[in-house]
Amino acid sequence: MSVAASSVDREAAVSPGRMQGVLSGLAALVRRPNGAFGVSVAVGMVVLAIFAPQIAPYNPDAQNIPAAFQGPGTTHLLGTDELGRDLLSRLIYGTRIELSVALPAVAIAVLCGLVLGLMAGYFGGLIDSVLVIIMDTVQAFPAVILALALLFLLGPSLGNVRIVIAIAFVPNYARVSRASVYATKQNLYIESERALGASHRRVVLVHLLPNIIAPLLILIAMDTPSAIVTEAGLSFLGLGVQPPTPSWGVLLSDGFTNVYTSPWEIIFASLALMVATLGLTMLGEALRDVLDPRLAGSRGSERS
Amino acid sequence: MVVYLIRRLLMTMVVIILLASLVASLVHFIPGNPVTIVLGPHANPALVAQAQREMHLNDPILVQIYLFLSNAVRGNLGSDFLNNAPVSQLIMAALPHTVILAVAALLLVILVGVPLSVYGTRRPDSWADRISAAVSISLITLPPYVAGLLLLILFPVTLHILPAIGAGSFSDPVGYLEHLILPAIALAVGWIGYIARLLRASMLEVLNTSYVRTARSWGVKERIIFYKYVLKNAVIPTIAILGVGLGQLIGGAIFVEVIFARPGLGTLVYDAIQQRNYPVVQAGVLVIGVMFVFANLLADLSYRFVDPRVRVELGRLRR
Repeated sequence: MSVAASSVDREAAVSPGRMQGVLSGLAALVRRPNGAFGVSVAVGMVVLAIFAPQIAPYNPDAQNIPAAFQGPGTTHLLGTDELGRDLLSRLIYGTRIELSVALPAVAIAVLCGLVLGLMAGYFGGLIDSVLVIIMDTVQAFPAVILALALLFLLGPSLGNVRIVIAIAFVPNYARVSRASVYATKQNLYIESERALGASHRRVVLVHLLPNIIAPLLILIAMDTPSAIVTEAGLSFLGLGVQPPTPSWGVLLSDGFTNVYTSPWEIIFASLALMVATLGLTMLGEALRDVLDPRLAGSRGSERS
Repeated sequence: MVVYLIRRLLMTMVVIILLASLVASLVHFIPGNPVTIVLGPHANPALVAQAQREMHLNDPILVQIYLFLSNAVRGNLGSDFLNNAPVSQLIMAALPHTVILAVAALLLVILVGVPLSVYGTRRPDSWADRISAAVSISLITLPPYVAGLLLLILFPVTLHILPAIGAGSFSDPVGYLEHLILPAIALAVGWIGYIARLLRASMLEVLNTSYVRTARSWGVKERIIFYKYVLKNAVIPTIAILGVGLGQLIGGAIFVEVIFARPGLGTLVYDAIQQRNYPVVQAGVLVIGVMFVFANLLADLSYRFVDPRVRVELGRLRR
């Protein structure tokens, strides 16, 4: 009973086309301190990414060797790197790189995971068993090691980093959608819908999909910062985005080479990374509290 | 429970075999011929053919997977033709450094994370609680490489204390410990926050149960309620996560090892990737993957064993 009732609530809160519901949900999000912080970080990052050429004071790739290794100052607000490039401008353009890797990677993972999970949960049987084993194997690797092995195959590049992160994240979405479909499928109204002659496609799209949207949104919000962290980590190791593209991981790697000469590149790139991940994580948590109050603080109750 | 155990072990076997097959077939997808990577582009064709035969590169992929698996089971992980040494030797030399690092980080996670969360949760809605919650979430979002780089800048570079490079040697335990401090902290910080939050959430959940309310109404001392009833019950899900944590720590170790130039598994794989030394990459990825799988298995089993409800069920089965 309670499951059915709350799924109706959730549907009302996020159902597409109900602007009112979306707006009131957004208001509830911003009223929370963590939500407000998260939303402002997310909006800030998007604005920086889109308007990078207008906001950045310098060309991020313009070298000025005589001005290399400056600390924060008046001409270069955050200082310069080993080639005299302006750090602030590189960080601002870096936002663009981070989002252009993380968002498509998560989107691909959502799409693939959703299709696989829906199929496994809805049809069950052999498809389900095979899929669970494959997902278990993918998750049997620590994400970093999986990404390393795959990048070793594909070669380091921005596009491959996207693919590799997407592959590492697919099981998350397959699991969530499979579990959710599995639970919803048991309801009587699904059976009666089938008896009335509805196609599998209609049942999945009209009745099962809306139930997955809330947990999916939460997962997306949680995975976006970890996609950024993964990308920066891989690029730091020199296996992801390649210099001179100013990904934050590339900045960390450049800074690491010159750590004894000037610490500023590492300090500011770390700061950007910390603010971004903290903000987006808080956004995810606030979203979880708003969309699914039953889940709030229940990470510790995964006992079954 | 017994059925579960058998299923879990079978599942682990399947995952490991799939993992090994995946690793074995890696060679096939690498751009370029692995032999020319070693012998150079202008090598004698006869030599190339011989090397290809020795490495079984001309055999069907299933045969290669079989050979890799049966050799790996016997502890033979192939030979590294760049340094002309058995790969298993390289792995065994690197493994202790990584395991010690991961275990040290895990100890730090428990020794700092548990008190942090207990201190906050015992004083609900106080500043201590709020600060411990805020510290936890900030630590969670701190990737190990950021923590490592910042520690590197703060201690060896700026304050000139603690070593920045290497792992020291086992013959000098104090020196080895000094080399361990910064990498272990860098690896642990994220998990300290995670465990502290997790434990806090499950303690709050237990605090709301009826048996805690009953104990209170009986006048049992708050201290006893907290440590005897609440903490003991709340720790169960945390133990499950700690096993997963050990696996994740081994994965995260690669960054920390590269930053502090520790000669562990992570550095080994990292260097091998740079040199396209694929036998070492294969073996390193396999060993890390297997350790991860076993850490998960261990966590799963231990957490079921710690839970008295499961133990009772096991006892009943035995009778």
